[in-house]
Amino acid sequence: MQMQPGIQIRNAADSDIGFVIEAIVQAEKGSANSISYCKLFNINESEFRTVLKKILEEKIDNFEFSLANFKIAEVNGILAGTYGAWLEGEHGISSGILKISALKTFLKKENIVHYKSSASIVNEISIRRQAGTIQFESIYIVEQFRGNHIGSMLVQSLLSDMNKKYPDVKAAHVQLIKQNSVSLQAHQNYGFEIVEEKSSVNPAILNFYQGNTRVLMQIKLK
Amino acid sequence: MQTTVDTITEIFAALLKKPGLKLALTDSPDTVTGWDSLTHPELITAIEEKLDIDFDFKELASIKNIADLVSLIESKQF
Repeated sequence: MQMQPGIQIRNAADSDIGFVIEAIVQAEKGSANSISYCKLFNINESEFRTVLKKILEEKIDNFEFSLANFKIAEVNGILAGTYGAWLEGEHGISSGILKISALKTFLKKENIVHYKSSASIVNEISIRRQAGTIQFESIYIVEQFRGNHIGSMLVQSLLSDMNKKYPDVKAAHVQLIKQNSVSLQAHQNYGFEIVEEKSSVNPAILNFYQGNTRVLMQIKLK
Repeated sequence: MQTTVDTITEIFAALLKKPGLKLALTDSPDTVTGWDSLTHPELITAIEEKLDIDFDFKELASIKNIADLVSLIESKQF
C-alpha cells in the first residue's frame, strides 16, 4: 500500500488520548450503536470516557486500552484515524486479565458486581485470544476521511512495526461481530480472513451487540 | 500459622467452588480452571477485603501467577 500524499502515520502521543478515547467509543458504537462496556458495568458513556482516560494515562502496555498500541493517521495535520495493536500475553499476562484489572481499579464495587451477572451472557460468544499473536482493536476513521485507504495504511504500518519488533510472530488477529458488515468488509479488504466463528442463540446477547455471532479474522504472517 | 498462600487458596477455593484446591506458586489463570477475566476481579476484591489492603492498576498488572500475588501481598503487610 503506497502512502497517499498528505497522509502521515505516526505513533500516538499523550496529546492523542482524547482522540483514542473517541476511537474506542466509536468502534464500540459501530458494533451495536451502543457501548457494550456501559451495559456490562452499568455505567453511562461519560463515566466510561472518564475511566478510559484514567486507564490510558497509566500507560500499561499489551492490552486494548494501552496508548502505546495506537497509530495515528493525519491528513495535512488533521487527525483522521487511528488503530491499535499489541502482542497478546507478551509478559505472561493475558490482555483480558489486564483489561478487567484496569476496569476494577477505576470503577466502583457495584459496577464490578453488575459485570459478574452480565459478562456470562457476552462470554457465550467470546473467543480466547491466542498468546503470541498480534491483536488488533478499536479502528476509527473520521467520517470525512473515509474512502482514502487510511484503514489499510494503519494496518500495514502496525504490521510493519510489529514484524520488526517480533519477527517470529505467525499471525495477526481481529475479532468482530459478524453482523457489522461494514467493518467485516473493511477487514477483508485489509487482508483478514475469517478463521473461527462463535454464535449464541440467547436473545439477550443482542442487548450488548448488533448480532449474535463473533468472528475471529486472521492475517497469516509466516 | 496461616501462610499467604493458605489465605489465597482459601479464597480461591471458596469463590471458584473448588473445595480441596491446592495452589502452587507457579499457578496462573492458564493452569487454574475458573480463574479468568470473569472471576479475577472478585478474587482480587476478596483478597483486598480479607487482608485490608488495596491494589492499584500497576500492581494488578504485575500479577502473572500466585508467586507474584504472594510477593505483592507480603510487600504490603511487612
